[in-house]
Amino acid sequence: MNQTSLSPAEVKVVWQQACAQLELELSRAVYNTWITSNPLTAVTFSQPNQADCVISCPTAFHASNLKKNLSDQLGSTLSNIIGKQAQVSFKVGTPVTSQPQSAAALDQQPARPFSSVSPRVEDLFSESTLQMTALDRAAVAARQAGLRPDFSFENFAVSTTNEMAHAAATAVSQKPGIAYNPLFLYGGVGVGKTHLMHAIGNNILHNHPDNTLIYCTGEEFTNQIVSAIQTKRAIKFKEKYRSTQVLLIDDIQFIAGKNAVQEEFFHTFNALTQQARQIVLTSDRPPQEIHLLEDRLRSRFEAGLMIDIQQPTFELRTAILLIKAKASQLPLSMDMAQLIASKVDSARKIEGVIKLIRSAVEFQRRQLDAELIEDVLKTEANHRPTQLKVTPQDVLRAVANHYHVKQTALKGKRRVKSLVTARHVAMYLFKEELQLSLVEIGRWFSNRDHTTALHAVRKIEREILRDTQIQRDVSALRMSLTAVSR
Amino acid sequence: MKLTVLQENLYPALRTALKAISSRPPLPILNSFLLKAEKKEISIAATDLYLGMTALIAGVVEQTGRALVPAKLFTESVRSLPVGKLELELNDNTLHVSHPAGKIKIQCQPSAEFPEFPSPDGQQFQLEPQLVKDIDHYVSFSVSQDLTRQVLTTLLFKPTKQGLQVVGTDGFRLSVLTLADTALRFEDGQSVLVPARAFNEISSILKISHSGDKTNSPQDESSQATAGDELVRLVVSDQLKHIFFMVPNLEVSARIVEGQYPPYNKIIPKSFELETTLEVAELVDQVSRALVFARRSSNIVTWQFSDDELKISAQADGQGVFDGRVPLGSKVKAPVKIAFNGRYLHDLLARLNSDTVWFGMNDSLKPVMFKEPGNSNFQHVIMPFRLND
Repeated sequence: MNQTSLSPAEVKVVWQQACAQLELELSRAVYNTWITSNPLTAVTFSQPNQADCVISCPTAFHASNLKKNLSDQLGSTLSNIIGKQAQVSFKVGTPVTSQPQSAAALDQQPARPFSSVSPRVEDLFSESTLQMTALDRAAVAARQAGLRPDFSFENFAVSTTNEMAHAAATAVSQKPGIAYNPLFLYGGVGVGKTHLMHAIGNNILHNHPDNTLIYCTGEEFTNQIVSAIQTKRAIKFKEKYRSTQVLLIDDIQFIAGKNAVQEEFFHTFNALTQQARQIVLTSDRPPQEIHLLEDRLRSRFEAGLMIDIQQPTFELRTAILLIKAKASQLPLSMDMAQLIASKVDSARKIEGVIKLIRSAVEFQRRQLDAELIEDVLKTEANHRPTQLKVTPQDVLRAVANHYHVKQTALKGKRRVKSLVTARHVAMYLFKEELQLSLVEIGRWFSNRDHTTALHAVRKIEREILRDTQIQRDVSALRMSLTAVSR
Repeated sequence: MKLTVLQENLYPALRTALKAISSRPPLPILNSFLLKAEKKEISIAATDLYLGMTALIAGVVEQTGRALVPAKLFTESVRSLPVGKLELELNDNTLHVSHPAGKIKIQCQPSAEFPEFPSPDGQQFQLEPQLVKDIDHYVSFSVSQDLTRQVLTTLLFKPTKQGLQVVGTDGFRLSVLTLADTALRFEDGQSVLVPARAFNEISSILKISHSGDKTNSPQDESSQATAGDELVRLVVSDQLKHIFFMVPNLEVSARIVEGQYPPYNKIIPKSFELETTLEVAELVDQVSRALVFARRSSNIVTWQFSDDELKISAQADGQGVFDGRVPLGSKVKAPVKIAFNGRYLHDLLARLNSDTVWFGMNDSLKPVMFKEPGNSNFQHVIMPFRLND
């Protein structure tokens, strides 16, 4: 026999045989108290002719008295059965006999009211109470972190342009620190980066209300460092950021070019990723396009999952409209939603339009119909946010850079496809952003006819609603123009 | 065995030790006390194999010895005697008790069969009597009496970042006392579930001797009188899974309970829709009045907050109603109605040391919290009744 121990089943057999013998030798009360509630739980063979037997006792009382009174008797009985010299030891362990009893008692509990005195009091530790308080705590934690409660996964419309980002964000929120770390979301304005980031935060807190979470924008991060250094509380700042379990930073591109801030962020980033703490970042462009971003940071961002969120398509805009309308309790029909979606290009503007419609319905008591929507969209069009103050040369330079073509080619007569699109976009921007007349536009492009310019503008206007590539190009160009705008 | 004791010393010791006697003991001999007369001390020991108690009695020993005396019979017979000297003598397994009022003979059993008590070795601590009293005052009353949920019959001692937390709950209310500076630190930051029964015996002994300081007659200068100021010795044995409490005239030991304590931290609310501060004295009076009626129907006491007033009401089905009002320090944002088990309210309010009590709630189905202003160490949570209307 090379066995070093007996299996639980064998131990059980040995114990049954021992019990049968001891029951005959001892009085009933002694047998019940000292034998049945103190079973043999393990037998090991450390030496060839010796069996080490462990008896589990419910309390120290049982252990010390068994040792004192019944040790020899147990030893000889077990020696006979196992066929080796038995060394008996006594260990206080989980009470075996009382266990099934209490389990049975627990099972019975739902059947009878919890307490005869208070028949309708919910148990403090019932599933529903735990859940309720967990929700409350999550809400408090989210509020403290500055997360918007309405930015959740439930009211995030998904289509081909953002389904990757949505899937990654969901995965991250379910397994923070494990799924994708860091998660880097980028895309133009109003595509839903911030919405997804808030949704990740909200969902993590929902599942783990006690997690610590920091949400801030790149600008707030910068300001906090500056003030921490000024007030000599840099240590506190470091402790706060390096001990958090989840770090969400919106518009991280803001820290580019600020060396001290990048340095601090670099160390924070390393400290957190080493402990498998989740980091989520958003930016308006991919890391490789963020100028003045330190290489070590860029490579770290690129090591995570980078996902591009594109401008919403027509269908997605319609879906977003319907979701937002439902949230603000506007009974918007599919036709009306499509009408708006065809006229409005960014998701953020959709929010504004919904608010306008809602105020018109609520305060002016107007009927919600196509006419109202037309009116609202008209005023919305007049309310063009900020006028870009750029020269035609600026536009030409930006477009040429964007499409990687020469300015002269852009203005020239060649009609290669890539040039044509760029030229059309440039004409569109001349019309939209600079409000030049069609004749003037024609003059900028090798004295083309004003109808050519009209055709170009109309073509882009049409395509911008359907073609995501054009949309992205135009919004990227607008952004770079805003940057040079005076 | 032959000894002389005073009835007024013997009876309290017997009464205490009787608490360790089970109503249905696994062995017949566990219905007995072990009466031990040794050179310097007389002791009474009792156990149900889970809880063990040894009480010391002041007296004079003429001849040492041991006897196994039927616990209930002995206690009742000693209680029936008037105060005064008792002579106890064991002859042929019969205990003779002589008192001027009468003679008692009690049949005893051979003492050798009485189980041996586990010896206290393990982590050693000293507890300030004040700490024991605080735990008793703020936490013990919340502990469950329901033996089917054994974990809830214990006091949880849990080390946390804020300090040692002592927790008690019966599943409907919860007390958490945080002790910031205490020497009580278990090895490896472990939590210990102490049977509340064992703890209560120690704290009641401290209470008796404390009040005894003022009222006792000078002749009764037994060791009891000094116990109120003595440190409580605590031994936690990991190996035996046993905990020992020791004061000069009593030793209580019990099996440490093993099990999963409910996630109490998770149900303590962190934010409140309604927060207010109330006068304790006024509140206790009104709740007591409401309880007169509430007691006749499931203890339901309703609180209605509106404007700057709290209306406390209760009704006894078809017999009568009570309505009382307590002014609030500040106006509430929106009127709320919530119902409690009035007994829970009274248990808590009657023991508060402060003049005012802080109350915070969210909605009528969520747990509410009570605190003593100026005492951030104590938190009490009560689960409200579900109202039908």
